[in-house]
Amino acid sequence: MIHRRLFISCALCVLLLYASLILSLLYFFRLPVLEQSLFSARTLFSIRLSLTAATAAALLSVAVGIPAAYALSRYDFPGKRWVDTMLEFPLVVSPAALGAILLIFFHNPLGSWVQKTGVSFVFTSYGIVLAQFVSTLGVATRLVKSVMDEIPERYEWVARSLGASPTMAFVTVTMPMSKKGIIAASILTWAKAVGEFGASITLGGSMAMRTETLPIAIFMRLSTADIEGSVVLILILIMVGLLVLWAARIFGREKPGA
Amino acid sequence: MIMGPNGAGKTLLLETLAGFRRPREGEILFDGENLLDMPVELRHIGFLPQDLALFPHLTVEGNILYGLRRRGWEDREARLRVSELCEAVGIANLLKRQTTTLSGGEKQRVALVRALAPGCRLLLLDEPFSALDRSTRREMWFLVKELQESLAMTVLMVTHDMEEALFLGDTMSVMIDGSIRQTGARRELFENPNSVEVAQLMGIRNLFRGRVSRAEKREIHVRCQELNGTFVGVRPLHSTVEFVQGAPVTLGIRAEEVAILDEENLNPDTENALSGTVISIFEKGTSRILLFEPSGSRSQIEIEERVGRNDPRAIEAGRRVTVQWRRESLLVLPEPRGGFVAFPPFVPSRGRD
Amino acid sequence: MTVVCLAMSLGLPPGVLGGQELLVFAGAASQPPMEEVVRAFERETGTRVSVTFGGSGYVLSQMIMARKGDLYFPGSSDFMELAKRKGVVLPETERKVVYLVPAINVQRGNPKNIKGLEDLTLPGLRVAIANPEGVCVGTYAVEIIEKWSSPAEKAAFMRNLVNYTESCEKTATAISLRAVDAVIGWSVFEHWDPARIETVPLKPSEVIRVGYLPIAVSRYSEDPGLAHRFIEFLLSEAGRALFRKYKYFMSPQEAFDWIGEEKPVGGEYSVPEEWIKR
Repeated sequence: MIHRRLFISCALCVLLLYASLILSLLYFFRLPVLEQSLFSARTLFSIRLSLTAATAAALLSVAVGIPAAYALSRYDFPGKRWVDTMLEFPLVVSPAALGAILLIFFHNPLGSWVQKTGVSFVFTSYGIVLAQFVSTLGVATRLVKSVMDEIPERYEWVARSLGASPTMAFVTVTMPMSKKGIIAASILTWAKAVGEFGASITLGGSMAMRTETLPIAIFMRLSTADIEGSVVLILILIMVGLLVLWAARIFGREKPGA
Repeated sequence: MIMGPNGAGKTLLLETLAGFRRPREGEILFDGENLLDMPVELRHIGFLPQDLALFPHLTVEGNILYGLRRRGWEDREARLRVSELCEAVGIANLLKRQTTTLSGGEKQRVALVRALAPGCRLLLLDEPFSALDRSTRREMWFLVKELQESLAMTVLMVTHDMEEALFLGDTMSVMIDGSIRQTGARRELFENPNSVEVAQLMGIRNLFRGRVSRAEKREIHVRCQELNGTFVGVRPLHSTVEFVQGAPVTLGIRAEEVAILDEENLNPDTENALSGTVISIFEKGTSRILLFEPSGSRSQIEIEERVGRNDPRAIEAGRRVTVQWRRESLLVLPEPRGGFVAFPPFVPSRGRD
Repeated sequence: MTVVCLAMSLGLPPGVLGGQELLVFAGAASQPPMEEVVRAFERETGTRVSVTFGGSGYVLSQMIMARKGDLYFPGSSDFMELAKRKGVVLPETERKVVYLVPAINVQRGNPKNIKGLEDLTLPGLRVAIANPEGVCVGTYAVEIIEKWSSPAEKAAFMRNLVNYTESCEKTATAISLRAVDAVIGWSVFEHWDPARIETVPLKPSEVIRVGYLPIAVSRYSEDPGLAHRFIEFLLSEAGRALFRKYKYFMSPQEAFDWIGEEKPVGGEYSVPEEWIKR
């Protein structure tokens, strides 16, 4: 009985902590500022940029992460341990450092060539997507890998004994069986991408209507001591972010799973 | 039928045959064809793992259709085959169910049908029935036998249950510690195990050390210190033992083949007879286990006898009796590899389930 | 017990020891010399001084939200005016510490051969300025362009403008990291990273105003007297010498001499809409 109460209290503490932090924003909240911000073109742009960039980055991360995770989970190959260790590299190095590293990369010969002949990343919205992608790829792979580790390889072997090629076995058995986990991993990756700041601002810059995501906009408001404006944007970010996450979870639950 | 204790490598063997694992050396010959380099999906070998591995994201129908779809069956024909097989096996009403909601026996049938549906030349079963209760297991035995005959298929099954092996196995191999020790018809393995380990697996619990005292063309005389006696057994046709005088052997006798004689006193020339005391008795429903200690010995022989309704004699613990067995029942086996391990006497919880 | 040990290993919060403490919120423009000044002040007075550096507006936000701090030392007069408007500094305590002159900064060796503002409009050039909304030197840059360029030149300049950096330091770093070819920053940037940054002076007519670094005592200070002492130290010969070492201009005259003309010192400039909401 004690266990139950204790554990539930811990869970409620999490809610309490975050909720009280959010509520304390009201200290600087001003309704007129909210009205003004909410419908300004600049804010709407930031919202759109944040959502699209995060979605693009998350999709890319998961798209690369799924096969990578499968390889890490099932195969043995030279360099496997290196790959595994590097997955946490973006986390450890911190976002600001990551941004600096990216910036430096684009000024070495290879990076400059990419910028000239391919896409320009430095101080563009593509840079925002790239920064978020680089930031979340490791996490996405790690999460999907643990999902796949939970699925015994036996199922794939049985599928193959029934006539499925290795690819078909992956597509028709492994993927559906890991669907729930992959969705959860995608949601987490998306959330991380939305909240990304250090790398995006360093690589993408902070220009309004060009590369200003919501987290960057919040920072910029603070840089002008516009605390009320910043608080409003924080609340908008919270609302937009949590809304999308909640919707994604509902959507995930509706499908009849096993 | 491949029989062996846990950890013997039976699953590994099956997985290698199916192609899930690659052997370091050797070949896999089936109908004269070497399957070694053939990918799993082309071997047409059905595989049923111990936990069945039913796909949780598909219905029963989806599971069974899986193999058919992969092999390119046309939808209409596929569904026809599915319903035929399911009717035959008795699971037609389960088609739309989720696999997680099925009972043990139902899951078994679904897994079987799934493996059989696309048609295979060999079906591998890895201890498929070990998790079932007794009666369901028996049902499955009959089912497998039927399917095997009607589909004219080769089935290679792995188990550690002797009864199952004897019931289903036409040809049987015993596998211990990664190697096959003996192969043959089941009767052959049952009656003539070629080593102590195989004998133990075949249910022989009375094993004692001895030395050859006299070797003749058809019979072997063995002096057994443990039992304080000399016994005569039939010379085995194939044996690794060199039956020279003094050679160490192991004697084995089935608990069911030891008879308790009515006479207390007997002719000292009676072959394979021992007098001694019944130490304890364990009732087991249809049979009874007695632990017998020969005079002058500290070892015990396990005796199992059927108990009928009208039991002419009542034997209590402490009673002095004489036991005897036929020379054909006595197994003369080589010394076990890896030295001699003392065999614990009968404990009530063991024995046939 | 464990908690106490942990807390002690993290360092005691200021004030616990009973000694005197000062907390300064400073713009990044003054980071290089400030660290030395602080050390000198600590040596002389035994007072511990903690300085938080960052964008001038950002540290002002921090000061306001935390309701703590003894001194506010932003990178431009604009931010001091803002702080005064918000009523978080004591206006009568404001002093000008050093003077700053805007200039063009390029990569060491000037690979794109930039000689003046007109070169900044050349097609294909990558230019950055600090965010005029948040950073002092950005506001100055906007004013310079506005007053100097024709509409065509302004358009060309804006085309080349690839980024608004978010702080004074980041403006200099943009050159160090070779992210851009030129920035409009302070002339002292060269001395922040001599190996990688080179200053190209503006023509006297192009410079609109001379910037300065103001300092004032914060409303939240618990020991204004001590805070005053710090300001006085900054303005003393010892303090000035340290700043001069970093090539800051210590008086308006020094700045005028460098530019070649006299210019108004400080004042406010309101950035036109188009620069903010591009």
